[in-house]
Amino acid sequence: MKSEIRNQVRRLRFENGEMTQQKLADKVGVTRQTIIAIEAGKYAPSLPLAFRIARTFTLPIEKVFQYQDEYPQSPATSPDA
Amino acid sequence: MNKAQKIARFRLIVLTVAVMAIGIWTVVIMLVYHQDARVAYKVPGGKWVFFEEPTVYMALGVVFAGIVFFGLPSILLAGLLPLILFRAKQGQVAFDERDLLIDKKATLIAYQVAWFSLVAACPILICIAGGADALIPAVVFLPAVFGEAMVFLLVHSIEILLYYGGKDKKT
Repeated sequence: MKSEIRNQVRRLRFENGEMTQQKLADKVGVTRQTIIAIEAGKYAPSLPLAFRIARTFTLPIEKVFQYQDEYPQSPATSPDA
Repeated sequence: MNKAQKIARFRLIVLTVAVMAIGIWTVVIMLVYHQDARVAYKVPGGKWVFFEEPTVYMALGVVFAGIVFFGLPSILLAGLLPLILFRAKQGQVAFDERDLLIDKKATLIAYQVAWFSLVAACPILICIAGGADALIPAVVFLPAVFGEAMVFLLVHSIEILLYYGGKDKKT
């Protein structure tokens, strides 16, 4: 079963000057294998790591990681509402 | 392949060689020194007797000696040598949160397997001692401890390699 956390890491890497997995890994302090696992959806990163990745791309965390909810968010709880 | 995988692979190789060495040692010793030992023989009346008690005890004794002779060096080699062989380069991240998570899962499973195998081995120790009311000779404890350490390291290494190979898609 794949992780319920979807992410845009791969796309964002390419949009940020074709950043390599190794370079991103060095910036956020993990191994390249962990970046590969995150991109493939095999590993859901911890909250601090997710924040570090988001800050590397200078984006809010929800633009990088999205939680795939079984039930759609109600407008009252949606951050965009 | 990262540091944790390299260490696991190294440990798996060392311990597999040790297990094979114990097996070869047992067969050779039994063939050379206990040629009269019989695994199965026919008694008058056409009935077969398997695993005659003295043969089993002799074989277990040889296995236990093998565990001490080959098990201890393999545990030391598998436990300590990776600390020298697979040192991280300066400034390189060698172990992160995902590696820690995998290591924790593998340790938990290895501990469970080692514990259950020790419980399963206890009847053998009692048989060797000669019954529940007999004193278990101290010489039996050392191989039991080394054997459990080998089981732990083997299962731990296999689990780590399996997790990195995609056993659990959530890691």
